[in-house]
Formats: sequence, structure tokens, C-alpha cells
Amino acid sequence: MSGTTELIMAYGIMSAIIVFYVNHLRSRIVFLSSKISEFSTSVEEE
Amino acid sequence: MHPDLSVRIRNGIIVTSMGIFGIICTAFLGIFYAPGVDPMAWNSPEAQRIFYWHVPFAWSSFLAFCMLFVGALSWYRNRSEWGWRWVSTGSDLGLLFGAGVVTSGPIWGSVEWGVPWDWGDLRLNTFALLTGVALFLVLSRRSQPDGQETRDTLAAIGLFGFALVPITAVATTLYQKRHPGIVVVDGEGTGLDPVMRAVLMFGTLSFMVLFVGLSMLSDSVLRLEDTAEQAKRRLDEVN
Repeated sequence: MSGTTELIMAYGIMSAIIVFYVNHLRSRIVFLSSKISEFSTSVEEE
Repeated sequence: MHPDLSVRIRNGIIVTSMGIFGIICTAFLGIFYAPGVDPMAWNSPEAQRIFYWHVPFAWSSFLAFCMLFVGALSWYRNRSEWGWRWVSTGSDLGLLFGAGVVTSGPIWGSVEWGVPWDWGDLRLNTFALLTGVALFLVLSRRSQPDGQETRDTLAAIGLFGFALVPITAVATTLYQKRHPGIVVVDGEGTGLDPVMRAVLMFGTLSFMVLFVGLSMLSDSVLRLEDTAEQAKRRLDEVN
């Protein structure tokens, strides 16, 4: 039992955790930027 | 969006990308280039290569908890907004890197020790508690209304939770049961092959870069949340 499967599993899980967080930050930035633009446009129209 | 914030986000993306490139290189170097351990001395010599990410993950989590501690102190001293942003970012990154450690560690332990967890090992259990504190802070921040009382309570938990950092850090020196002791510092019966050490140090540096990049992006998200809140308030006033 050399542990190759466990090696792949561990790197896979750690990569998934990082990818999840980076994607979370990306989606928050996109969402909040569009909200700010939307609010600013509405204020100008009013 | 404020131009300063756009620059911050762009810089955060650049630094994060550099960090991700570095940790991918570390994984390849650790798996394909670094020498293996003595197969007679270890039960699962290949699984040992997990440590090129596992150790920098753990060090990054300690850095995140230091950030949380400094932020909590600043929040208590001056009620500073940056202090609260550091508490938020520190708890997020503490959970992120802590989760990586408490999942990869038991995977290695299950093949090396024959059991994924040892409830009698100080290092394992204090680190799990530390990650639990970060999880509690992240969930509380998301579920509780943002206000001074909430911030005071969570900053206090962050301050007390930080006490676990030095205990966890010296646990393998004071009380070594299952978790391997310090390998980076050469000593009797410890020490690392120079190539293994170089790969580990490169990995640590890469994770530090990734840590800085993620901190910059997380800080930008918190600033964006503030800006969105202010813009919404202005719109409500106009209406």
C-alpha cells in the first residue's frame, strides 16, 4: 500500500477547497459590482 | 465602482494567479521531482508527498489566525473598519486553510497510522478546535445582523480562539504522540533532505503569495459590500 490513491485524493480535496473559495470571491465581486452600477444608475435617473 | 477599488481587485487577481501558479508547480515538484522517503521506514511512502501542500496549508492557517487576532485587537481599540475587515478575512482564510489541513491530514493518517484520527493527540485536536472556531465565526458573520454587538462578540471569540495557535504550534514539541514532530529544523532524529526542504520552502512561499492575493480580494469584496450598502441607502433617500 504505497498511498498513491490517498495522495491524489488529498491534493484533489485541497485543490477543490481553493477553487471553491476563489470562485466564491469571483462571483461576489461580479454580483456586487453589478448591484453598485444598478443603484448608481437608478439614483441618476431619479 | 471607485477606481481605487478596481485597482485593488486587479492587483488581487494578479497576486492570486501568481500564488496559484506557484502552488501548482509545488504539487508537481512534490509528486514528480522530490525524492521519496525510505519505504522501509514508512507504511505509505507515496502518501508522504501530501505534506508539500499540507504543511504550507497549516502555516497559512496560522497566518490567517494572526490576521484575525490583530484585526480583533484593532476593532476593540479603535472600532476600526479595517480591523473588522481583518477579522472577516482572517476567519474566512482560517477556515479555508484549516479545512484543507483537517481533511488532508486524516487521509494521510488512515494509510500511515491505520487510523484517520487520534483523539489523544494534542496537535490534531487543538488544530481541529481552531478550525471549528473559524467555522463558527464565518457562519455567525453570515447569519447574524451586522452591528457593533455582533462584531464585539465575534471579535472576542477570535481573540480567545487565538490562544490555541501557540498551543497547536508547540504541541508536537511538548507532547508528541502521533503527529510527526518539527522536520524543518535540523535536530537529533529530525531534519529534511535538502531537495525536499527546497520544495517545501518553495511551496510555503507560493502559499504566502496566494494568502496575500486572497486577502486582497477578500478585503475588496468587503469594501464592495460597504459601497453597495451606501449606494442602496442613497437610492432609498432619493425615493
